[in-house]
Amino acid sequence: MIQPRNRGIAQSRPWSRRAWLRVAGLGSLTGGVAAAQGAVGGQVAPALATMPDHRGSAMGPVGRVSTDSFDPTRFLRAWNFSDLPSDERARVYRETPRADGTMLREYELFAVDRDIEIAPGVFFQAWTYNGQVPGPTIRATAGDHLRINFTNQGSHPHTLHFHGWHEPAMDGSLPAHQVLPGESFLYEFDADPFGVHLYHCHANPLKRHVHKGLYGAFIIDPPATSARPPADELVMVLNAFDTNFDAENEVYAANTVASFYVQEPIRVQVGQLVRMYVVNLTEFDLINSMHLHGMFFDVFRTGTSMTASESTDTIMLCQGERAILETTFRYPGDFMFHAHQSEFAELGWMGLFRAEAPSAG
Amino acid sequence: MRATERAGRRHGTRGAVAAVLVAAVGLLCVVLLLPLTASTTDSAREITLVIRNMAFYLEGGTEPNPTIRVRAGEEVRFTVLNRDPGFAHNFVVDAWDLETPFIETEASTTVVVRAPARPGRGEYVCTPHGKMMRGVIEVVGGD
Ligand SMILES: [Cu+2]
Ligand SMILES: [Cu+2]
Repeated sequence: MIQPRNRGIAQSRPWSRRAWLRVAGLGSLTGGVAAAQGAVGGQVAPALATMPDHRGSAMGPVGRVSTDSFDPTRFLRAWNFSDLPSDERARVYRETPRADGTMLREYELFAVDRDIEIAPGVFFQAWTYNGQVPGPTIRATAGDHLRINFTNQGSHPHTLHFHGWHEPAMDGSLPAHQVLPGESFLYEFDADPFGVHLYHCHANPLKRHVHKGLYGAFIIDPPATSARPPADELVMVLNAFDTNFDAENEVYAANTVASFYVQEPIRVQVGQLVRMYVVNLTEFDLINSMHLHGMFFDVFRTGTSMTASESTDTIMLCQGERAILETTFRYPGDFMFHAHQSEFAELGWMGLFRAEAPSAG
Repeated sequence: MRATERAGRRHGTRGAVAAVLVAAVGLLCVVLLLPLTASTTDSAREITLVIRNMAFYLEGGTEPNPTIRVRAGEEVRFTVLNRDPGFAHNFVVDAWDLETPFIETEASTTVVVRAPARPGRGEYVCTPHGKMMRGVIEVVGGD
C-alpha cells in the first residue's frame, strides 16, 4: 500500500544475508573502531594509512538515518512521552496525584502502520505504537493506577498485552480481546510488581505482530520509600527486522536503528552510576545477548529485586526476558557494546558508549 | 517533489467530484496549472492544510484538526501537504463528496471545489486514520 522508498531491499526475490550486507553497506568491525576514533580525534589512525584495502570495512553502515520521526538518542532517556513538547505531551499523557500518594497515569496509545528507516536508506513497513518502534516507554511507580486508551488506526486487528499483574479482561491476548481497525479499548490496572517489563501486541499470528514492531518497554519503579539510587538511566530494547519475510532477521539493533550508537555514541559520565533497562524483543532468533567491553555490570533480572544476582560482562536474554544492568564507568573513552552473537553485531546490534571525565571546572 | 496522482489510490468511487484538480507542487506544475485555473482563482478561497504527527493543521497553526470555516457557495482551493514521514494520508469531506488521493510524505495535493450552497456542518477526515485525523468543516451563510 505504502511504497517503500528503497525498493531494492523489500522485494520478494531471495537475498542471502551476505548479499544483503553488501547492499546495505554494513561492514565488519575491524578498522571501523580506528576510523571512529580517528574521526573523533580529528586525525586518521596510522594503521589505516598502511592498510588501504581495509578502508571500506568501516564499522556500521555508510550514511545516516533521518532522526526526524525517531531519534534513538532521545529514546534512550524518554518515558511517559517526556520527549514531546508539553502541548503535544498533554494530548497523550496525563498524571493525577491520588489521596494515598500514588498516581493515576492516563495514556493515549494507538497502533498505526508506518514506514520506518532501520538502516540508512532501508525502510521497513512497520506496525507501530504511536508511530515509533519501539513504542513509547511506559513508566510508573509501584501502586500507581494505569489507564491506557488504545486506538487501533492500523490495517489489522491489534491489542496491548502488558506484562505484570492484571485481570484477564485486561490481558489483550485472547481472540475476543482483539481491537479491530478503527476501534478502541481501555486497559486499566495497577502497576505491580516493580521491575522492568514490556508490552506488546498479542494478536495472531503473534510472531508477525511482534516482529512488525508492536512492542515497548514498561518500567515500574519501586515505591518512593525504597527507590533505586539516582543514576543516568537508559532504555534499550533489543530488536530485529525481517525485511524479506523469510522468517529470518536481516537487521539487528538496540532501539531499532542498525549501528546508530556507533555513529552517535551514548554519552555517559565517568564515576556516575549508569542504569540500563534492557528488554529483548527479537523475534525468530531463540536468544539475544548484550556484552559490554572493558568493565563488568550488576544484573537485576526482571528488576524485581533490589539485590543484584550476578556480576558479569555478558548477559543472555530469551524473547520477553529483560534485566536492569548497573555499572559505573571508571575510564574515559569509547567502550563497545553489542550482542555476543557476532552475526547480530555485524548486522547492526552494535554501539559505543563514550565516557567523559567530569569537567574540572 | 512527486506528483501525487500516480501514487494515489482511490477508495471506491464517489461519483463526480466537482472540479477536482490534482497537482504536484513545483514551478513546472504551477506553470501548467495557471491557464487551467485562471478563470477561477480570483475568487477562490485558499486553504492550506499541513499534516504532521497524525493531525491536520492550518498552515502556521498549532491547533490539531481545527474547525475549517467557508462561505456557502464559494469556491475553495484546498492544498493538503503531508509532512508526516512514513505515512500516506488523504483528505475526505463526505458531505461535499470530496476525496483526495493518498498523499505521500512531502507531497501535496490541490483540489478546487465549490462549497455547498446552504450553511451547515460536516466533517473532514483522513480515511485510514479517521479516529485521530478528524475535524469539523463549517459552511456559513454567504453575503
Ligand atoms: Cu498486532
Ligand atoms: Cu492519515
